[in-house]
Parts: sequence; C-alpha cells; structure tokens
Amino acid sequence: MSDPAVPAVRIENLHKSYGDVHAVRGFELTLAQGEFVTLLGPSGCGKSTTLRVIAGLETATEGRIELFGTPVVDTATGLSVAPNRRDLGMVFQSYALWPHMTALQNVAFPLRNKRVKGRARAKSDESAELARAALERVQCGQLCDRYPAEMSGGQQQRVALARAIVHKPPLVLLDEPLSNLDANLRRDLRVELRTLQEDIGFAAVYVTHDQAEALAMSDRIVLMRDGQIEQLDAPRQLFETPSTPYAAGFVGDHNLLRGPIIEAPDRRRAVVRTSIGPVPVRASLPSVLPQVGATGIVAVRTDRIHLVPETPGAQAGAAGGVVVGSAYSGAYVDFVVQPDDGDDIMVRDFTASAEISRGDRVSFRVIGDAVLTQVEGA
Amino acid sequence: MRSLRPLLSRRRGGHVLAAVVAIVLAAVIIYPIYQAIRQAFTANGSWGLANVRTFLDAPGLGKMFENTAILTVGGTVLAMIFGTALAITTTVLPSRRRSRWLLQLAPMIPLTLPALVGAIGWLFLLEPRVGWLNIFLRWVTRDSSGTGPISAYSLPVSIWVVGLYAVPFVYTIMASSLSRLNTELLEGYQVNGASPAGAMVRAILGPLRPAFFAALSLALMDSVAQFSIPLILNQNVLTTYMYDQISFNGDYGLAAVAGLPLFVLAVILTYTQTRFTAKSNRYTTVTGRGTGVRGMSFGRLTDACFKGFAYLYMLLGGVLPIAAIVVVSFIKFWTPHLTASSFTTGNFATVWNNPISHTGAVNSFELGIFCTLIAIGVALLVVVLAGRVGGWSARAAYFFANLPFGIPPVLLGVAFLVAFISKPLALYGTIWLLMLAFVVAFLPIAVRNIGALFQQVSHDLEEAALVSGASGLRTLRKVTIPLVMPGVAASAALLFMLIFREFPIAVFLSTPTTNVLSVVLVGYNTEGAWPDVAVVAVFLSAVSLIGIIAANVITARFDLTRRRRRGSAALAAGDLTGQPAQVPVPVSASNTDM
Repeated sequence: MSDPAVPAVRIENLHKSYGDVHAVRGFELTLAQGEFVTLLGPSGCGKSTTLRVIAGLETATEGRIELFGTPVVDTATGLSVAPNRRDLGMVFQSYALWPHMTALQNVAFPLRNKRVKGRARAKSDESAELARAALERVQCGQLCDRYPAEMSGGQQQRVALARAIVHKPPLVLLDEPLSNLDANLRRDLRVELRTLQEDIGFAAVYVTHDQAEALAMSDRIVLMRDGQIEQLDAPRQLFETPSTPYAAGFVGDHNLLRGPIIEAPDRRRAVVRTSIGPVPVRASLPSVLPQVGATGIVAVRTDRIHLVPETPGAQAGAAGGVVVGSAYSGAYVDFVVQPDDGDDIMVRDFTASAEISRGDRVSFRVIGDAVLTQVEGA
Repeated sequence: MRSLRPLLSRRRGGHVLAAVVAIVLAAVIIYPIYQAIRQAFTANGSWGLANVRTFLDAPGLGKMFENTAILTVGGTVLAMIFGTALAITTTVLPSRRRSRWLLQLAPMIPLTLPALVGAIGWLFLLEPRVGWLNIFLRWVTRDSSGTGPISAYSLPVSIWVVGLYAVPFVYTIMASSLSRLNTELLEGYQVNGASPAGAMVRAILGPLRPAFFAALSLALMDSVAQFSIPLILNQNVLTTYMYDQISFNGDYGLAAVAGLPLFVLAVILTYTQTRFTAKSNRYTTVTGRGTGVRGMSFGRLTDACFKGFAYLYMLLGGVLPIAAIVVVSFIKFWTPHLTASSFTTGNFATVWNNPISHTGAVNSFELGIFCTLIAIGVALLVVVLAGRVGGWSARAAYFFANLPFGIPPVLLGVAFLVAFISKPLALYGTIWLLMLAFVVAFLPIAVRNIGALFQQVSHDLEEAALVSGASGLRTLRKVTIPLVMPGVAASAALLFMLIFREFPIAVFLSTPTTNVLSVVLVGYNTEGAWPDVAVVAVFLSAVSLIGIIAANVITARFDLTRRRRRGSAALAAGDLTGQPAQVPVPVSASNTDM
C-alpha cells in the first residue's frame, strides 16, 4: 500500500442509469484507508449498484472512481479497468462459492490468479498454506476438504469471507453478506466481521438494508434514497440527529410529528406543539432554521416518549391519547397510541410497565430533546 | 436489477469468431431451404406454378388431406388426454416412495422407444394374419377365419400409435408446469368450495392454460409431421406422399410443393408454441422452495384410476410392443402356428453378418459419435458467444443455430436432398451429407439444452471469480465450463441416442453405401423380413435405452447441489424435445442453505 493519506476509494459524481431508470445519481464518497463505510437504504435505492460499479461489475454512466490514488473509472476518458485488475475482495449475499471446488480450493483461487501488477502468481503449495491460514482465521480450518453443498449457510459465508481476504486486498466490498443467515448467527458474525476488519486493516464498503447492522459495524454510514445520498454520518449522529424526515423514518424508530413552532429561543433550539404536546427540539442542520409560527417536522424516537397512565381529574388541556395496541417483545413493549388529535404513534417502553393495556388513556412525556428535521413555511 | 457485462465482451477475436460462425450457420441452413422452395416453383427449367397445379390436380388429393387431418387431430386428442393424465399422476397425486420411480418411468418408455420401433411393435401386435394381439383375440372369440379382427393398416390404428408416441411432448410441458404450480393455489380453490378435481380443472383452465396450449401446439406439430408411423402402417398422408414422390417418381418438385403446407403449419405452430411457453413461464410463478403440488388426492377410486391409467400406458406404449418385437427376433419363420422348433437365436448372427445391416450399424455409430461431438461443440461455441461475448454477430449466430427448430425432419430431409443432389454441391451419396444434415437438424436441441445449462450458472459465481482476479477466459475455463460439463455430457448422451436412431432425414439422404440402421430396418420391413426387422429394432431400442440411462446417471452423479432432484424423468424428457422441462435451478451454493 502506498501513502496512508491517500484515500482508499474516491468517487466523484457517479451516475448509473439503465435506460430511463436512474439507479445512482451524483454519488460522491471518499473512504480513508482502513475505514468501514456502510451503504444503507431500502431495496432499489442504488446501494448495490454503487458497490458493483466500484467492483467493476457494472460500468458507470458518468463519473470517476479512484482506488488508492489510481483511477479505475473515468467516463470522461473512457477508462474502465476490468474487475480482475482492481485488486479487490468481495463477499456476495449468495456467498457465491464455486460448488465444484472444496473450501480450500475456493479460498486458494484468488492466489492462483496473477492479475495485479507486481504480484506473482502463488505456487500451489504456498497458496494452499495461505488459504489454510485464511480459513483458520474465520474459524473454518476444519472445513478445508468440504464442498459448499456440505456446509451450513454460516460456514459458507465464513469461507466466502476467507476467500475475499486471502490475497490481502486493501479494499473489501461486502454486498449484504449476512442477510441470508438467521438472526443469531447474523449478530455473531457482525462482531466477528468487524473485529477481522480492524485486525487486518482493510478498508470496507458494506451494503445492507438493515439499520442495526449498519449502526453496529460502521465508522460511517451513507444513507441512500433513490440513487442519491440522503445523509452521510457516523452511526451515532445518524441515529440521534437524522437530518431529514426520510432519515428519521429509516434509521432509529422515529415518530414524525408535525406542528407549529411556538418558541424559538435561538437558531438551533425550539419548541414545537405536536399531537403529544409541546416538544423541545434541536435543529438537525444549520439550514433548518426554526421560526415561530412556521410548521416544524419533528422526529421523536419511540423510546424517548414516556406514557403516563391518566388519572381521573388530571389537568385539562394536556395532550393525551388512547392505547390502541401493544406488542410484548421481551426486553421492551411496543405500544401504538392514538393521540386525541393526530395520527397513531409508536412508543417503545423498556421499563415494561405492566399497568398500561389496550384501551387505557395515557398522557405523554418526552425525554430529552427531539430533532427538528424540517421547517415549512414561515 | 443487474446487467452483467459479458465476460468476454472486450475481446475483438470473440466478435470476429461470432461473425464467422453466424455466416457459416446461415449458409448451411438457409441454402437447402432456399433450394427446396426454388424446386417447388421450378418445372422443366423455368419458374412457374406448374408443380403446384400438378399437385392440386392429382387424384386422391382430398383423401390424402383428409387422412392427414384425421390422423393429426386424432393423435393430438389422444396425446393430450394421456399426457395430461400422466402428468397429474406423477406430479400431483400422492404416491408411495416405492412406486414413484415406476410411475415416473411410465412416460419415459415411449421416449426410449423410437416412434419407428413403436410402429413396428404395433405392426407385430396387429398384423392381420400373424399379429400377436390378433391371434389372441381370435383365440378368445374362437374365430377361425385366420385374419383380423383388427388391421394394423387401418387408420384408427395409426391414430392410436401416433397419439401414443406424441404423449411425451404433452407430458413434458404439463408435468413441468404442474410441478411448479403453487400448492396454495389449488388449496385456494378448495377452500373456496371446489372439489379436488374441480380445483385441478380450474387450474388447467386458468393458470395452466398457456402450458396446455403450448402442449397442444407441440402435439399437433408432432402428429402432422409424423412420418415413420404412417410409413410403416401404410397410411397415405402428406409426409408419406412426399416420400412416394421422391422414391417412386423421382419428382422432387412435387415433393417440395407438398412440403409447403407442412412448412407453413410448422412455422405457425412453432410460433404459437413458443409464445405459449413464454406465457406459461410467466403465469406459474416460481417462488423457490415450497412450490410443487404433491400428495393431493382426488379420492381413492379416482387416484387408483389415474395410476391404473399410467400403468396401462406403460403397458401399451412400451411393454407390449417391445415384447412383440423381442419375440419376433427369435423366430425363424413367422406363422400363426408356432412350435418350439420355430424359435432360434440365429437371427442375430444373420443380421450381424449381413453386409447391409453391418454397414448400417457402423454408419449409425460413426454418425452418432461425430455428429454429437460437432453439434455439442458448435452449440457450446454459440452459447458462449451469445452469453459471454455478446454483440449482434453473436446474437445472429444464436438465431441461425436455432432456426431449424420446429421444421419437421421430413422437410429437412427433402431440402438437403434437393440442395445437394446436383452441382455445384453434389454431396449426395457421401456420408458427409448425412453428417451435415444431422448437425443442422440437432443443433437447436443442443443449443437449447446447453443454453439452459449456462443459464443455471448464477452470475454471482462468475463475478466472484472476476473480482478474485481471474480474467474472463480464465473464469470461463475454471468456473463456468467445469460447472456445465456434467450437463453437457448428459446432453451428449441424449443427442447420440437421437442421432443414432434418426430416420426421417436419413431415409432421404442415405444410399446403399451410406445406409444407417433405421433405414435398413425399413428396408427389411418392405421385404417382409420380419425377424430381421425385429433384430434391428431390438438393437435400436437397446442403444436408445443406454443413451437415456447414461444421461440420467451422469446428471445424478454430478449433481453439485447433492440434492435429489424431483422429476428427473421430466428433465430428460424435456432435453429430448428441446423444451425447457424444469425450472432452472441456479447452480449456486446459496441454493443449498440448510
């Protein structure tokens, strides 16, 4: 690897369209060496397409991509380096292990391709040694002679991971690698994958539609919508201060509430009157300017709303509502509450208070500041 | 959404090669068809409709068309009934594991048996004087007239035999779409008040309708173009009329004119069948696991009837005609009154030592092996060019390789005869002409089978190799080709079997030195040398059987997903007819998650 200051990936103004369908529009990203960045979004948002363009499996309609300072895509000059010359590792959702090869043969395959400048094709015993080491690394040393059909899904994905890192590529692309696995395995592998990445130090671009996965693993998350970047932030910032109503809706379980701004003490803070009462808010971005009288769209996390059983003779005028549904989920209870004035909201209660049940009247208390994601009209 | 950049799209050599292949294929396919059409409209060295007029004025023309129509419609109706019932029996009805393989074997038997051999078998059963079934019926009814009661040379018997051997076409399509039918759909009809049988009928009239029509088109096509059965059973239909014009009158022009309606019909039916097949693939949605109806009962009695029907079909389509042939192959002189001394094993030696059949056997083997290798090789090339190089020249190569699909073999035979009997390309009388015609005729099946194999290789597997640093060619060599190779070998086994027993093309193109076994068989039949006919028929059936078994063994042995495939019988049946018989199972590791 060259100068550590050179970005691992640098994408400028990337466009990809299929006929009239614009899958990716003006995507920009700079990824530091050793950084773990996740492309997050619903299916069809262009995240997989972006990854495949980085890999060279799809050609860009417009734009420029550099890997470690070397241009691999530049539509202005017609440059498009073949995928086999980009020195990458890639993990597929379907694992994509070659069914006619054993685990060891699968993992040794990248070593047997002399395709990257300056890297000699490994001898077969040497590559077998390296492949065995890579399999040990993902705890699959005992599977060397097994065929893919003889392994479980989790084992297959571990082997696929070993195959992606065996030739020590400085950049590894992961396309929904965990989404075919069951929930427990997914949680374990999440941690393992991140540990492996930090130990080896490769840069990673990870595609997923699962926000929990994105939050748990990434240094930064690119939230995508309709082929464009909606928000690019560290997991905590994305989760706590979604900058748009869309981001709030997709990441963290937020209720989007709308109401007039009734106080605006400074450029960042305000109070919005909503269906669950007055809510103190902070603006998500400097461009979101609270003004008294304007309508604000507020994102309130479901676990930041506290339900208080309404006692007879409670003060009149306080916002309240009726519990119309509840779902017990072990560590928490999800309630659906219909405010007296407004659409249903979700409330996640980690204290699992048993005294609230369907049909009860409740009032709301908001804990901490909510996020003002948008201001409409003045 | 994904659009794979073809693996080898950057290789200029690939595009040049594709262009060359496209031009060669276009030439060898279009030239004979052009010559045949030219011949139809040429009489006494000048263009005109003289041949058409002669054809239309010929006495007995109405009768011939009437026969053709009756045979086509009758055979199709029989095939639709038998084929659909068989498909329901093997894919829908509950069956014990022990009897399942036997049930699935039922529709395979007539495929193993060439139509030519089937016709011989039924001739041996229903020959008026010595046919086994006739002897049996006379014995039962104490009839001492010495002939009858049924004549193998009557139209109803031809209808029966044509229908019997068109069943696999119907069965293949119906079984494949039934096996993809979602159980919940049938349950849905039942929950809403339909009986199991009612639900089945509604499914066939509803979501399965395109498949039903595709099967219908295919059965019509097979029946109208059927040649060996009416030839053996002496029926005057379009195909035998063409044959008579050529072999007795030497009138190629008239034969070509008679081929025109067949050609037009074939084009129409191929078109409708392709359309309906495409539609049926859209209708019966494939949702991965959990599809396939199995274990739906129509009630004990009805189930038993269906199964009885399947076994009856096995008996009539396979066991009886084969038994009749085998017995005749051991008889010295065939008379109604046989004693122990009438039997001999000498027939086999006689046929083997006869230079005519000996040459035929050698030629059939040579043609089978070389044509299979060439057709498979060209098909591999065309499929790789079309799927992995891309571009207009590759698409053209694919189009021309597929062009003969659906053209009745009789027409191909006539076209190649007309095109190559005289200068500038007088190949007639050489084995090369047979080889060329066979390759052209069987290329579509090879291309379709091999194309389906390539489609089953999931793109992920190739992409993973590319990203791992393998070049496009290396990916093809190390990943794609090894994955399709077992399927290619199985296709080769089937193709060898089909070419080995080919008759309708061979009969027009072979000469005494370039004879093949099927033509030898018909020659013996014309001479009335029935024990010799039987020996050759036994041999043809045995080679066919070995071909099918080899294909199935290879498929099962190298099943990389290591899972037992349901309906492997249907798979082989589809390979024979060039139909997509099964849902393509992606050969990908993801398919096997537990």
